[in-house]
Amino acid sequence: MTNADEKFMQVNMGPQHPSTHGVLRLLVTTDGEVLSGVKPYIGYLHRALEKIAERVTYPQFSPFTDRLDYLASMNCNLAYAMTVEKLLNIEVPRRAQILRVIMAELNRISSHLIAFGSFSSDMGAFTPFLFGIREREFINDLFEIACGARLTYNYIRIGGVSKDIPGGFIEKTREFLDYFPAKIKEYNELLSYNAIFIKRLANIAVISPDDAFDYGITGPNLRASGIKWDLRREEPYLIYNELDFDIPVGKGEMGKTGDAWDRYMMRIYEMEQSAKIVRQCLDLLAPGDYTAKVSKVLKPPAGEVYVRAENPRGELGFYLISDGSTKPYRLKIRAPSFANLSIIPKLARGVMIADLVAIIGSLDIILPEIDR
Amino acid sequence: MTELINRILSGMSPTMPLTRLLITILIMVVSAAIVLAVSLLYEGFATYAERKVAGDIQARIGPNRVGPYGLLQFVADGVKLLLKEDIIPFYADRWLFIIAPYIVFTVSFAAFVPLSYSDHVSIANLNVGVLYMIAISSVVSMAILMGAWGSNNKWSLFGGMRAVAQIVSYEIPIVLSLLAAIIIPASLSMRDIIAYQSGGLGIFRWLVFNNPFTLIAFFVYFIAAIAEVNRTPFDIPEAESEIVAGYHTEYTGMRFAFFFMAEYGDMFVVSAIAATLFLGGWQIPFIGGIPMPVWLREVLQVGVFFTKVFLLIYVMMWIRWTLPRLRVDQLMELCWKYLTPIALFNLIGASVWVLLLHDRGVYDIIARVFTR
Amino acid sequence: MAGYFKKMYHSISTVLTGLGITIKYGINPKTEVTQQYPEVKREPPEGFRGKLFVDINICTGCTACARICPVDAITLKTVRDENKKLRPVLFDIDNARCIYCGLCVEACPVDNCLYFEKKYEFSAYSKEDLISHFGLGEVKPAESKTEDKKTEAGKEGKEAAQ
Repeated sequence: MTNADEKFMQVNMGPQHPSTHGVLRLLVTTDGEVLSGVKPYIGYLHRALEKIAERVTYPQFSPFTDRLDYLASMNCNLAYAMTVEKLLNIEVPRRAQILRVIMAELNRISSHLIAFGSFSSDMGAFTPFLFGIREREFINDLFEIACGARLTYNYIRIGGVSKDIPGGFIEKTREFLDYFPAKIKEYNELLSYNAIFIKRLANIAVISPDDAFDYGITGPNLRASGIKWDLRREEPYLIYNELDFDIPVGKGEMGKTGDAWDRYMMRIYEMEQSAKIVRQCLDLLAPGDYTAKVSKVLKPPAGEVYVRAENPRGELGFYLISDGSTKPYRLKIRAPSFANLSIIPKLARGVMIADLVAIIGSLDIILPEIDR
Repeated sequence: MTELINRILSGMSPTMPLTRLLITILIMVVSAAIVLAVSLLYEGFATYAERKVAGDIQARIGPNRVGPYGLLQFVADGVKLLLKEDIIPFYADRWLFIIAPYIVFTVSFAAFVPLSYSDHVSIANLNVGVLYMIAISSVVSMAILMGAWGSNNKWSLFGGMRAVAQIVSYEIPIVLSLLAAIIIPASLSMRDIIAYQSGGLGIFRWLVFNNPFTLIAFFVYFIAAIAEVNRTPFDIPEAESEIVAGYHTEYTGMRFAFFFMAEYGDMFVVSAIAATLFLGGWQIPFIGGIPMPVWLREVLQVGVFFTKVFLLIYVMMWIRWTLPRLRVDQLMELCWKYLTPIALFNLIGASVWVLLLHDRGVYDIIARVFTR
Repeated sequence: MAGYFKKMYHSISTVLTGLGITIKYGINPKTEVTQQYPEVKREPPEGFRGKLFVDINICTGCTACARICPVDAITLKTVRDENKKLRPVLFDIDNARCIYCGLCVEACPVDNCLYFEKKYEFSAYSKEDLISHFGLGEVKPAESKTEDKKTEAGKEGKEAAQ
């Protein structure tokens, strides 16, 4: 250690730390409260999911996608199902498509609720976290009615969905949609527009549009930087091109465009939009098949395919190479959180320890997806 | 208590100096034990109340398993903490590490001494009571730093440094705002200050209503006091999401409990100061003027005093479970850019008021106008 | 200077708004959403994915479930009984491994043979206790029967054929 280094202190933030959202380890170099460098170390949750994909059949991998981003299992299921469908050229029935949109958007709300909640508890306010959890329970109940599971759904399958929604689901969903806007208003009053909260986040960790492109940031974090890029609009899949919804973009309401507050607020706005989408889909829902006819043994032709979908945390992409057998030859997962995480060392320079927590929370990374 | 000792000793012959000494010591020990028992009981119930209040606010129930309504939860917690392994880190500075919690606890306990619980119930009616309180509460910062340094943990060190910076800074607005109230009764004795606030239905002659400056001083004091006892939104010394648990990261079992109880003890003390100086202490509102037996009056006075203190503690808890946490620099900004200047100008205003109108408050002036 | 007071006003007003929301919850006990779990148990909805159950008597021993299981939680061993029908002598489901994905239930060709129970409380003290055994066990496979019996069966078969 040289003399110059002695000025700094190295602290390990994580893997056991309350606010690293799992098992992220950050090697933090600090000069007192001010950070001079952050180095993320990942891999504590590595389960070799991509390797597992090479030894299980195509339908068998579907449950594993639940474990990618466990807060948005539906969306992960959806992306994987779409990948294999593209490889097999399966046409998904319309009812299944609408059901998929409903589930994906409900899951987006529930994922953003957790993002909102955990971020608020990172910021020291614990009550909004429990409020977020309370509303998420409602969505979990809906999913439980639909597919029987509350966290790892494995509902969206290759060809459609695993089963049709039972009676009562639509009514319950409408009930939730009626109840939800008041809660969003409550969140905003309690937290979003709170002066302390704004002061903590405005102008902190600004991601410029150029940086966002350079680092491959996607999802709400990218849109917070003022770039209107949403795969649901740019490359419409399912029935998104029929639906009327806005894509919220960061405007720098409380400071610079692309600061932590903008990133946080994107999620609140997106929850409102998702609720709007679900409402439209419920109206569109017409009787029909919930799944296409898919043979039990899937043997796609040799070839490769890349499909991406808009996840709550950004673009989730599956790059799938098939050699014509029943098992994928190679499956590469493009996890949004991985790219979003990569900007932390750049953002966390010259900020304070408390800001580092704000940065991690506002990027809303999730570790199982990063480590895979 | 001095009066009590004197009264007992006066009935004895002055020829037994040793017995007199022994009796004095005995009375001191007994009263200390009573205060300790009461404060421990209070601290136990305060932890229970904190969790129950948190539960109420967060749409939960809170502890309800041990005893009726979970009232014995603190006993269970205490037993658990006593039975826990007492871990002293290998590289810790053992002496500092061991002694720090005791100092913290002793200091918070010592601050109970000059409080005036009713007309005749107090441990010691110090003529410099307020000064004593201010002085003794600043010892906490030293003890916290001892514990933090002694732990030899980087997070603890962060917490300790933050705590010292915070407590030392916030002493200034506290003292300045207290001064604005003290100059009216022109006494530092808790009992005299409360006695001064008699009359006016037991409410309107409270110092907080004395003049506009004392009203502001009350709010400045209360905000600074929350910071002084390290509670959200000023809980940066133990900010869970940032620095794990701050200065008590390495403490376990009973040593941790001492820190924990001291926090609640401090809460009581700052609330008691606020109640004494601003809210009329044990002055019984409305029915104070009705003649009643001495014992009843004393009981009522103690009840009124504790009610006021507990209301203030409830407000502290309420604030804690609502607001997010400030950042270190923002905390300092609040202190030096807002609270201290306000308190300073406020003090000048209060002084001018006293200079022009002597100790006549708004109520006195209105009352005089009406009686004329 | 105006900004100074404006900031102060903004802070105080937003903080008070927040406090107003929390006190609404604080004083109103009806807002509690907690379920008193061990006393009050919620009824899982239809189609709840709980513990797996096998109606072993109608199991055809096709091993579709064991083959589809992505985590190899199902151990299945079949033998042909005297009627040349596949019978599962060993049908173990390791609940510690099971990820409740439901693939096996969908793969099962027999109605109401392999299904999820609405059971979600089955913790155990050891891993072994988490394995549910459904296998018939005592079914004597045709191959392992004694030589005489086998020949007898064969004779009978021949006689029947004649």
